[in-house]
Amino acid sequence: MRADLRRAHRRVWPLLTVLLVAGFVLGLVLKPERPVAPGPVAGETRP
Amino acid sequence: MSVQYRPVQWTRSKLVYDLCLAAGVSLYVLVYLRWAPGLVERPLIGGAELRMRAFGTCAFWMLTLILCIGPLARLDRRFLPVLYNRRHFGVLTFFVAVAHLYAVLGWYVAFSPTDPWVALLSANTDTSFLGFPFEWLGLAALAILFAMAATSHDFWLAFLGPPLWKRLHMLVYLAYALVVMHVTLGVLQAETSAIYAISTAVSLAAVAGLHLLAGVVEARRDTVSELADGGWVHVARLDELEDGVGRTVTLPDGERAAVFRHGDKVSALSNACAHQNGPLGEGRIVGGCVTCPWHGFQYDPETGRAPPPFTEKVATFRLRRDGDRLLIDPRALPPGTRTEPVLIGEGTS
Repeated sequence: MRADLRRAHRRVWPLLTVLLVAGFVLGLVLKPERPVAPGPVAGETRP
Repeated sequence: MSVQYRPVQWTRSKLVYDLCLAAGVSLYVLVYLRWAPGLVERPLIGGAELRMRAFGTCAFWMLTLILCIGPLARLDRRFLPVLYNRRHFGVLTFFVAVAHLYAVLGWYVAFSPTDPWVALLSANTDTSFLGFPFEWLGLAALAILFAMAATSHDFWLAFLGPPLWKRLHMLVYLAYALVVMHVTLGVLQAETSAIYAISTAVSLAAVAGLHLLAGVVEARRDTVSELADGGWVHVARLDELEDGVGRTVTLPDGERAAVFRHGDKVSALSNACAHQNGPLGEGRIVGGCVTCPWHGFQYDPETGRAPPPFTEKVATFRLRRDGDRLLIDPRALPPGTRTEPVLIGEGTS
């Protein structure tokens, strides 16, 4: 017999929430004041 | 619950579900392409770049919705119909994400003499946090979505077994985390409009908040009931049992049992459905059988066996009554073992 996986969900989400919020906030806080232009990529000759 | 291989067992509800999904995706992309310039995007954004954003944001919101369905269904049974065909939603999300990748390759690296994949994966080679090659994060998430889409059929569920299959599909949480960081370290670094940051925060709050809330509610329900003589566990008073509706009881070893009153009889089964470990205790009796709320798998309440020609079976538990109280033996019987139901008619014990 197997227990359903809801306890695994309960263990995963508090940690995942902390990591996700930390990553998201750090990404915004450390964002350069001037927006970074997308690219350039290797060898790009975009018109 | 199939006895032969079929690619998709179409039913009316699945067709309606899939048509709604296809219509929703088409509508989102069309509305985005028509209205986003000037509202959420720079007015002069190019068509190819706009398509890339349309499919990317669509896949992101689809993944967000998919992840919200599970906790919503756990908090409120009315969301269960959305859960039934969630795998179709996931497969479509993979294809929308592929459309996003296709649009990226068709724009950023389309004019490059370098191989498109080399160009894509070498665009960001900085090892700092903000210079992180976010493209890799998106590709890793796409690889997980591919693995999930490719193994979404019941054949793979039976081949891998429910525990391994479920664990494989829990990688969707990792995929979501990768997508959030793909967005944060990618588009949010270049974008001046706040709409993308706000959208990501809303998605994050909804997904994490609902999972945390569902966890708290279930942890409260998960307390072990009072123990009686011989280690038997108190389930409920007999007059508390509603006919045809399941009740979940947590046992001392952490397992859960599903107790059902069916007419004047009461029987108990494992709470974990043999299909995907769905919570049988949240199901109902339909046609005399315990019916899983997730995908409708059915079991005879007294034997734990699926009705012929199906072969699934779950563990059963012995029950006895103590006055007006119902007690359960926490030691599970082998799957498919017939047990005598407790009779709740007058003067019966």
